[in-house]
Amino acid sequence: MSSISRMNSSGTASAPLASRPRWLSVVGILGVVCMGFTVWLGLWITPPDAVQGNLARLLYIHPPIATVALYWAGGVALACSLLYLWPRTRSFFWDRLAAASVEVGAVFSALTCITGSIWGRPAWGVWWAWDARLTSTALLFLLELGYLALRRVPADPAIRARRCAVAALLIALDVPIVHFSVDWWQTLHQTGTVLDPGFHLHVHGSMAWTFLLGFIAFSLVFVWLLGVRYRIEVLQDQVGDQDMEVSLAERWNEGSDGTELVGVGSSGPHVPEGGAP
Amino acid sequence: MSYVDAGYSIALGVLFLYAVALVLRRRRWERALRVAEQTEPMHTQTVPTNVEHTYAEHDTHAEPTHAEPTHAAHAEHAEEQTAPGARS
Repeated sequence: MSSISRMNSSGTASAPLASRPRWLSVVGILGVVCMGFTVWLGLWITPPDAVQGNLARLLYIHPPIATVALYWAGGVALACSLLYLWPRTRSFFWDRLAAASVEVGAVFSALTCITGSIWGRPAWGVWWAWDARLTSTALLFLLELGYLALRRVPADPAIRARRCAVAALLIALDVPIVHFSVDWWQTLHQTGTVLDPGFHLHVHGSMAWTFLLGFIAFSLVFVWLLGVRYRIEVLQDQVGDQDMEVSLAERWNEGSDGTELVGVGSSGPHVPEGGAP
Repeated sequence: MSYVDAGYSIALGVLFLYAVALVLRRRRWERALRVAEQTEPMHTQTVPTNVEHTYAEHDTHAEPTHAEPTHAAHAEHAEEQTAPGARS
């Protein structure tokens, strides 16, 4: 067993069960309130669009969801993975945060594709097109699923963390492709929805406020989901550490009954990773 | 149902279900940790703190001297001593 896996991987296994942070609950409540206002403004208060009519109301949720999937989740995963790979800042904290971000990001990526598809059917006449923006977003979702599958492969925690950090870099490579796809290729998907390349607003009045509130609401929900998912990662590692100590003790007790045991000091018991308790 | 209603329903519904699933998962792992913390002291109290040395060095008949056995371990040991088929 390597030295890094021998150490307490959670860093808090011997500590009592930590309480849930209060700020996270506040963020969650704020997210729900903002989401409620976004839905109210988006469905009932804002006027129909001059061109798209009521269909434009879908755009109060689709771009914010895509923003979270692409920039917030992708950015957190990239930053945390780089911090893990950098030897001076290497910590399982970054690994867990990256894993949490990728899982939450996968949910938002799926929703980006679904809400875009629902908007595309009446607007373009098709549910799906192999357009550069759509395809690269679908690829992002598949890469995130691949990351999550890789994370479930049994391995030493340090090796798993390094593998996943490299996989997160691959996910991050797709983010600029998604962003610039509408500029690099002729696509069915329109260019900047809210801002043009000169950073001028395309929307005004109550529509602009609803857009802004939508971005805030989904961002707050993302932070809350990230916090809860991160806590699950910590708990999984803590239970893994506890199980390891119990397994070690059981094997030791078996040894004291006269059973021949070899190599406990060199290999150690298997550390459960992420499985259901 | 219009496309707009469907889009809002699916987006908010999926997020709500995912949030509920996360909260349930968190509770399950918190419960698992509590159970592990309750069972862990009984087992680990009888384990010497230094597990690096081989089992061949360990005297199987001697009481561990590195750590104080718990009351539970004492009771278990006493039961073994008095049981009809107990090892001497």
